[in-house]
Amino acid sequence: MGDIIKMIIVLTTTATIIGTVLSFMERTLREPIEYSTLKFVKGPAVLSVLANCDNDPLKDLKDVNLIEKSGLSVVKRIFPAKRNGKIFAVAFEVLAKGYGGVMTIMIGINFRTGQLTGMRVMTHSETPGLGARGTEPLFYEQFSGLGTKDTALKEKGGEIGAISGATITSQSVVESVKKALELLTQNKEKIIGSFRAT
Amino acid sequence: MSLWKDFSKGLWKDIPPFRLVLGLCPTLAVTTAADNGLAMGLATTFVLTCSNALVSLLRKIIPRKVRIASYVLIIASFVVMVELLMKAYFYPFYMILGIFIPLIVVNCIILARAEAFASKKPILNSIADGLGIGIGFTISLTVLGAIREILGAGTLFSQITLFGPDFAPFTFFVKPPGAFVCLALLLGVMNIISKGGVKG
Repeated sequence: MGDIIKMIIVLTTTATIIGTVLSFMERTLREPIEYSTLKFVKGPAVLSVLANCDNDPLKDLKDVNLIEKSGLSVVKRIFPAKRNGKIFAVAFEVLAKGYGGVMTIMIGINFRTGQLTGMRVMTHSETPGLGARGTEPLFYEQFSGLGTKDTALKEKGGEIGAISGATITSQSVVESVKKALELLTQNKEKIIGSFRAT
Repeated sequence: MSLWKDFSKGLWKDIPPFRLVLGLCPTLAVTTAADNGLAMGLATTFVLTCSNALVSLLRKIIPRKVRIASYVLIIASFVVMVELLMKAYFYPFYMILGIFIPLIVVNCIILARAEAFASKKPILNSIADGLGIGIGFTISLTVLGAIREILGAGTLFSQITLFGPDFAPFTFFVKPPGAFVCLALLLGVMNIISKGGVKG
């Protein structure tokens, strides 16, 4: 009996101390991690979907309160692209439910034309050769220049050819991008307003 | 039992994965380039040294019946630490090593040293053991990675291109089968040099 108590006490104490130390470490490192992720994962994606701007979208980022169709408000991190101090396009992150888990996607939207400037898959847990092919230009380049109406799979009347063998992933990505496009277009004035305040 | 001996045996006599034939999975998987091998080796060395130290510190407290569970708990905590640190300060390597960072937890070398050495020896000796074997492992991974990279891609440390544009890389070496072949060749060479066998 004493044996079992000793085992329980040692394991529980060790686990508790370890858990506390690790959560403290995670809290302390949260900022450097966010910065690194921004620099190496999101940064390149943001810069590749926003072209021809004369500012640094990463430095000018802002968290803006957007209102969804349902009326709920959601905070989104927006990366602005400006020309001559005026915003003409924004990039922000979209989540899609992939086959193997959550996919993070960066899209760019041109406010003047209401069209997508680009789409990049940043992180995913998809199957190599199937869903993972979402990261290939053959797939993501299809999104450039599309408006809300055309952002759908070809089978559903849109302009996008699905990834062969990965229809679920393709459909999910397209839907999430379309919803994001709608959300952005709806909140266009709000976003431009938030950035004008600076 | 001298400190120097405990440290230096990891550099040749007990060097993983050639003499201490453990930790083959990460060895084969991450040595596609010299810098990848180096990063993996350093991460493993950190975990190995810290876990050896902590296991040795607690060796009189951990009950025998739950020792493996305790060791894995300790090893896992240092792996989480190294993963967080890599994410924060060495993100490019975090991206390349990917899933093999959490897999350091099940790297046999670390558990084997905890069970065979750290649980029985004092702290300083355990730290020396961890450092020696870790550094030996790092050297092995870097050398193996360099050979595979030079022959298979013509670069070194992903920076320096060694041959002219007419060089046709032997890409076999950067693929998994090439890893096995390269490892075996290096092991053979080491055996010839030391004129001994593999440590049992």
